[in-house]
Amino acid sequence: MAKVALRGVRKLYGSQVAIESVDLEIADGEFVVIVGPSGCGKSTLLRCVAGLETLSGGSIHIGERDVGGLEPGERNVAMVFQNYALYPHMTVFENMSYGLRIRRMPKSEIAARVDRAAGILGLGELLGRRPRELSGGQRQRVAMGRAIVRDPEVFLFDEPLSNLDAKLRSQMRIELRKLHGRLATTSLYVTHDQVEAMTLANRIVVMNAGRAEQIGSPAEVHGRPASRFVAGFIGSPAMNIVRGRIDERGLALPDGGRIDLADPALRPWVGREVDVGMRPEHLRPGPTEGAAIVATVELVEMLGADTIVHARRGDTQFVARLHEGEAPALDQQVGLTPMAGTLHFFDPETGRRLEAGHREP
Amino acid sequence: MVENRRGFRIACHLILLAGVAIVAFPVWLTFVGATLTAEEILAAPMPVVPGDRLVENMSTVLSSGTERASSAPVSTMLFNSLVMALVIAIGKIVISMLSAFAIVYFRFPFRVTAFWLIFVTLMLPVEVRIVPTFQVVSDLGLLDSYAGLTLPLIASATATFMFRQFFMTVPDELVEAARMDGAGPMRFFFDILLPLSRTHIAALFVILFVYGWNQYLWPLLITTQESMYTVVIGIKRMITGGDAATEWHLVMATAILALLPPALVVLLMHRWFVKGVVETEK
Repeated sequence: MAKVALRGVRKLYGSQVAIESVDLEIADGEFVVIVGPSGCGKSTLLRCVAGLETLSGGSIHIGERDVGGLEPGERNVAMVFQNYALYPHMTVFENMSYGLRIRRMPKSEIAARVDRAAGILGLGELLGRRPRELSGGQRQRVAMGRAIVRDPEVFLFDEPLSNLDAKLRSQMRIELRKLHGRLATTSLYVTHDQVEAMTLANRIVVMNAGRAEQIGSPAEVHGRPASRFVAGFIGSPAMNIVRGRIDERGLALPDGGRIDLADPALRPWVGREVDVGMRPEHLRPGPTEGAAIVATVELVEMLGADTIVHARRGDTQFVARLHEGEAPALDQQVGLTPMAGTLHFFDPETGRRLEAGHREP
Repeated sequence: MVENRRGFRIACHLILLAGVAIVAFPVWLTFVGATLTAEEILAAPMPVVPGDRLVENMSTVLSSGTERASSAPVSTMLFNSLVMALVIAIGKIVISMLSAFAIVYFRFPFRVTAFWLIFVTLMLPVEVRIVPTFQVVSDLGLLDSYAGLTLPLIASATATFMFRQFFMTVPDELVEAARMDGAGPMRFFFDILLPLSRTHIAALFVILFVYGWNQYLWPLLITTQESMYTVVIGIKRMITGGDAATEWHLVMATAILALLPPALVVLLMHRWFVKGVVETEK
């Protein structure tokens, strides 16, 4: 186990910038999830740590070692690939022990390590099988087993659950958490699935266009998104973001309409154009008189405990997450009001979060 | 086919049977010829049922060849053919796998040029370059030797191209997983790429073995001693021109012997590589 330090990590493909510059310190035993849309550079960053890509700039330290010039096999890291990358002609045992055999570990030690990992993952019965005789979930376990037996300083996961069906995915997510609780190995995990990010991570790195938009705990990233991008990316359904000019009574929209917001949080931004973010779960339904937003219900999605309501006001679509039984009827006018203290403000130009404490000129 | 009428099916089978007969009849005649005596085979309508001299004819050619044309025993020729076919098949597979490995997995200057050079030689069969090749082999003193028989035929653009195409279908993640496990390039080649290529190797071996076995022009040019004849050349030498009567029964026996090893290789390996293809592992 070790801490990992990325300093000014930069990766170019020709003149194409894949990673602009990322600084990240991962504490010993921490589980860090990198999340972002496809093409944001998250997998590239992971592959840089693995040593499968060479850096164009910056440095990566694992423990006290600068691993810049080291081959992947010399970095003492293990990786779990999205498509598992099991060796098809080897049995489960051979797959898991291949890295150890290359390191010329004594046979008895190899057997002991594989047995232990197989025990943890419930693979005992399958050690003699070939990958093609296994189900997706079992292959996934073998891929993890191959990483565990190496007893590495760092685990790297490249979207390891995205090839599984939804039910298996949530099951494996729980197992991954338990596994990390048990092994406490420093882990770096890449996913595009924010649910995985929120549930697995000690800290989340939200990446966009080669930059880390925000690095923080799941609660911070969800509760105080550092930018409009993070706000829109984390949270499902996505945050409602409307642009307008703040005045004393609320938000004047470009189309001439208004959203009346009686929220003291507005005060610092009066007279200024901002992006206002409202999470769907923070919009409360009510009578149309006195409501902040009056919109027409276009679609109602019943999810069981919750109901997602899509409503339109002029050109703007609003999504609200309501409780069971609160759902309005289709085509009906509904009043939606954000709960006090739940608004987020973003600079329309830079997209950065605006905080009341330090107002920009 | 959507057609499933009885008459149609009978017609199909008749056509197929006719095709089989056309292909099989000469082989049958060869076999019958190998079982007759010299006199019987020259009788006006040649018999179409086997005689009783098969074992005798076979042992004659295997031990002492023909009496009048060439006295080299066919067993020596079969051995020469076997060496030639095996060295060519195995050599081609080894060389082309390594070249394809280099081209697909390593970045080096003129990599693409190297690939195209190999690819271009696809268009140059032995016959086209036969005069300069003969000169080179002759200057190297390799006439009448196994090296001379095999070396000029051993590089294969076709096999290199085939392995290249196969290697490109091997997922990159496997290479990366092997690198993470600490395997160097040759370790990856022997532990992962080679086992994955088994079925391709088997298929190529069949094709290349038959190719090497059936070489005619090249061994004809560079072998002058009977002890270096391959069996294909041997058959040609047995058919005498001029005064001496060709001992057709012995020629036929030799032809059957020449036919067996490639047929055997095809039959045995065929089962093996069909099994492999069905169990596609990727």
